[in-house]
Amino acid sequence: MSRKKSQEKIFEIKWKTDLPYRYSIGKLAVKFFEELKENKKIMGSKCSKCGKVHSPPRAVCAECFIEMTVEDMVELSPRGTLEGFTVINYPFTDPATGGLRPFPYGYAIFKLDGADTYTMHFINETDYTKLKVGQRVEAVFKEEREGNIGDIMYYKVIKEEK
Amino acid sequence: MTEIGKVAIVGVAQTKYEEDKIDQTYSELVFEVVKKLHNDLGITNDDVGCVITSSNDFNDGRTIANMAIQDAVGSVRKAESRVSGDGAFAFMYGAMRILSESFDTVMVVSHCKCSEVSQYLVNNTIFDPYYQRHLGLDQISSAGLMANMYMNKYGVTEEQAAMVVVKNRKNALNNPYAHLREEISINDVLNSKMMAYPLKELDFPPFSDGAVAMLLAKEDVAKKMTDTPIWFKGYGNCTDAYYLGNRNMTDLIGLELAAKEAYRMAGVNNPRENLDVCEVSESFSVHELMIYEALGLCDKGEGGKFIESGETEMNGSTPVNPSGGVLSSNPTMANGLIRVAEIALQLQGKADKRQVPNAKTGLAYGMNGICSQGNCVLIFGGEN
Ligand SMILES: [Zn+2]
Repeated sequence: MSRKKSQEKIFEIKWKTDLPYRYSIGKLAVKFFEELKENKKIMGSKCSKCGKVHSPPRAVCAECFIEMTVEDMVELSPRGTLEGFTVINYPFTDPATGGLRPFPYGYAIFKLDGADTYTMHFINETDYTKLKVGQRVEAVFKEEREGNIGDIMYYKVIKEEK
Repeated sequence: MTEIGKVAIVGVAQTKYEEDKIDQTYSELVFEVVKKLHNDLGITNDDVGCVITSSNDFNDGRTIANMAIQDAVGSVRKAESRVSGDGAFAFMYGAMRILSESFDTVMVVSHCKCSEVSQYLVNNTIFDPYYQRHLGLDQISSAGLMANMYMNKYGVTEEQAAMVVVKNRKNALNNPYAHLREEISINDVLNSKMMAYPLKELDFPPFSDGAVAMLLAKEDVAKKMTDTPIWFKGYGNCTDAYYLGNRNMTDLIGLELAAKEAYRMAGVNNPRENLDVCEVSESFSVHELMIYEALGLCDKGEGGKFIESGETEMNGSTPVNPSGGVLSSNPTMANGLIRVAEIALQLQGKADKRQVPNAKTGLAYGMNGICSQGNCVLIFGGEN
């Protein structure tokens, strides 16, 4: 439970605890991941009062305090417009595997066409001088999809005017 | 009912903030500051009516982690409660126990040992487990996105951001409790390793271990305990959207609303003129520039020019973070209560080498979560 300070020998007791959860992810998320896996579709949810489209889908529109159900889910374009980006240059322990993700990797925040909120995901560009706010991006899907967020491997910059 | 303005901070105590306090358990850190406060004030645990602590279970590695410090904080068979979050919110909880006339005195304590668990993993668990967590979002990557969007919108430069780090690290030289006490240059910041473009290693704080404690008291008790009670004048709290995609990432709207409320309560009409000193929870260099704007110290988008003006330096009109701020010492959960403690010292005239001359009114800003999600703004005044 501790690091070594200089050459001093540290008294240590080591243990490891697994604390697994079985989350209920809700009907909207089930639909989201089903559509992602089966049809390569990205879904959002649309508020019946203000019309705001949330990506990823949310069960309550915070602005209106209105519930959104699976019936309120709408298909979003896999394309969007870049609003911001960063390039991560430090090791990150992947919560899915416990292993280290290779770095550097690009990270983007963008608005998918048809959505009103920002979405965040990896982008396949590690040279930040090549990224610009306003660029068009598109989702790249895995061939063998499993029904998790990793089914979108990353977004890529595409040459296209909005 | 006791009015706001009739609750005082009568004393504060801090540990030195360090990278790895391997020789002390977090309970021992808490005992160090609580005992010091007892000694400074000449009181015993019997003089403490109620105890409010702040910590985080994920950092402490156990649930109901406040029980791990129960003996050290003196809460056995006492009214005790814990804020699972930043220490500034614990201050507010403690003040409310006096405002409601439930207690005459309240001990407020916050601790954190960042060295005991990976802060990246803890911060990653802030995010929802199926849409975001597996994409590795944490405080660093979120900060990179926010900084990029803000700087792009307002034309703020990396040099202006670096000036925040240089200022705070220079101030830390005057703070014996600070973790990083080494003067650095703008070039040091700009040339440090890129962490999350546009932010470099030195744009971020270290991770620190430490604890802070303070005693609050109602007016008549406070005046008996100290010649320099510091009065609680205003409070504002506002939580911005949890999901970053639902936020305006270029302006700290939650902080803006919290500050407005605190200013209204304390009668602050012109923050630049009314506030003599500010201590804010800046999670990264650019964040402090955004905080200037949200607090109304400068106009929107002017944060970069404002740091260049020198007004937030020690000899400026509104010094910000004379302690060195979070960029110099970062025991995460304790940051907000440290801001309060430092403002109390400033207004008591006890801030030694980091003293802002004639400081009468001060602001402390504590924050929960990522990129100014939960905001707590507190205004204090000296000499009533
Ligand atoms: Zn709505």
